[in-house]
Amino acid sequence: MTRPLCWNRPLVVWAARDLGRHASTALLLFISLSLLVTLVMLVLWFDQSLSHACLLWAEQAPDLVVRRVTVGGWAPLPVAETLARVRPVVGALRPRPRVWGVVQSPVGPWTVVGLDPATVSDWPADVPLPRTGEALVGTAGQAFEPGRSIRLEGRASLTLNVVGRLPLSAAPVLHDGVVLHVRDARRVLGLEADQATDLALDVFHDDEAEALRPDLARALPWPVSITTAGEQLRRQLDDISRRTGWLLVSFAPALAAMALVVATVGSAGRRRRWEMGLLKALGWSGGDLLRLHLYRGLLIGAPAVVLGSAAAYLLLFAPGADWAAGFIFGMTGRSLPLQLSGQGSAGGLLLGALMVGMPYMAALFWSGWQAVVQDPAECLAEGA
Amino acid sequence: MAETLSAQEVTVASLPTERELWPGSWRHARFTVVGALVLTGSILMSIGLGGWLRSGRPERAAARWAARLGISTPALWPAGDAMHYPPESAP
Repeated sequence: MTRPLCWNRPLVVWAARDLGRHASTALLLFISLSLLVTLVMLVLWFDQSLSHACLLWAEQAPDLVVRRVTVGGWAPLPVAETLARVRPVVGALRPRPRVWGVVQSPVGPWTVVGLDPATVSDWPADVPLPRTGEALVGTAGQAFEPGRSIRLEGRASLTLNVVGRLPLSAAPVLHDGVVLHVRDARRVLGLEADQATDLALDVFHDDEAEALRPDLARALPWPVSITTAGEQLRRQLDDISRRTGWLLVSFAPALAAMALVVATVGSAGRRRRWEMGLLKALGWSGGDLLRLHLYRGLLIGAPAVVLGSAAAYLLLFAPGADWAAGFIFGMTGRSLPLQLSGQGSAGGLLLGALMVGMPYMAALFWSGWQAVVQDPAECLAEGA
Repeated sequence: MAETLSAQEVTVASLPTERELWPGSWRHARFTVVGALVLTGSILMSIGLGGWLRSGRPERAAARWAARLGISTPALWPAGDAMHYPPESAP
C-alpha cells in the first residue's frame, strides 16, 4: 500500500491521539506559541501596513514645500512676491501658499489648517466647509459639539463657532487639529493678509523634485528651506521603523519565551526516545517515526501560528488600531482612530510566521531526527 | 509464502482493532485533526477575505483628505511634533 510522502492519515490520527495523552503540555505549548506569534505579528504587521499607508498618503502630499528661514528660524512667506518669482521656474507646477501652524486649544496643542473656499475642490457635501468665524474640528475634538464655541490661542486669541467634525476617514491626516477659513487661520497664527506659512508645489515627475531645488532657491531672494515629499516620507518611515524596532526589542522576554518553547520541544523529543525505540524495534521505519514526530508538532504549531496571526489581525485591522498612536507615537488625549486595511503588509505576515515558525520547526525536526538516528536498543536502554 | 507488511501497513491494518479497543480515544484524535485543519483553513481564508474586501479602502479615503487639506505629514505624530516640519523652520 503506497501512502503519499507528506500526508499519512493513520499516522496523523496516531499523532493526534498521542497529543491527547499529554493534553496539558500540548495546550500550554499551543497557547505560548499563539501569544508569541500575536506579539511578533502585531509589530511587524503594524510597521508594514503603516509604512505602506504613509507611502499612499505621501503620493497625495505636495511634491515640494518651500519655507522661508531666517537666523531666528521660520519666517512668514510673502505670497504675491513668492508666486511671482516661483511661477517662471520651469517644472514648478501648481504653486499654492499654505496657511497652517500650531495653536493652543482647550485640550492641548492643535494643528490649524487654513482653507480658502475659493480654491478647495473635491470637498464632500456632507462635511461643512468652514466660513469666517467657523471651525471644523478634527477627530480629537469630540467634546466640541457642533454649535458650541471653541477658543484657540496662537499669536492672537480667537473664539470660533464649531460647525462640524471631520469624518473618521480623515483622522490619519488631521486628528488633533482644526480646519478654519484662511482669514481666521492667518489671524490666529499672527500672519498678515498677504502672508503664508509655506509654499507647496508639484512636479511632473518625482525625480524632478530634487533637481528643482537649486532653481527654486535661486529664484527666491531670501534663504529658504526646501523639503521634497521623498525626504519627508523617508523621515516618517525611519521614525516608524525606529519606534516599532524598539517595541520589538521590548518584547525580549517574549523571545526568551520562544527559546523556552524550543527547549520544551527538544526535551519532549528526548523524553520520547524510549517510545521511538520501541516502535523502531516493532519495525517502524525512521521516516515513519520522523513523520509522526513532525505531525505531532505541526498539529500544535500550524493552528497556533494561524490563531496568533488572526489575533494580531483583529487587534490591528478590525475594527481599528485606536491604541497604536498613543502606545507607539506617544499621543496623549483622545486616541487617534486609526483604520488600516493591512494592504501591502503580506511581507510582515510572512516574516512573522517565519520568525516564530522556523525555530519551532527546526527544534521539532532536530529532536525528531536525533531520536530517529539512534539505535533502538540505546533508546530503550535510556528509557528503562 | 508469508507476506511482509511495512510498519505503515501494520498501522493501517491495526486501526479497526485499535478503534474497537479505544473507540473514544480514536474519535477524539480524529476530531482533533479535523478541528486543527478546519480551524487553520477557515482562519486563513477569513484573513485573506477580510484583507481582500478592505484592501486599501481606509488608506485611500485618508489619502483623499490629505489631498484636500494639502497636509504633508500624517496625524500619527502629535500636533507640534518636529515630524510636521524641518526642525529649523517651525511655524
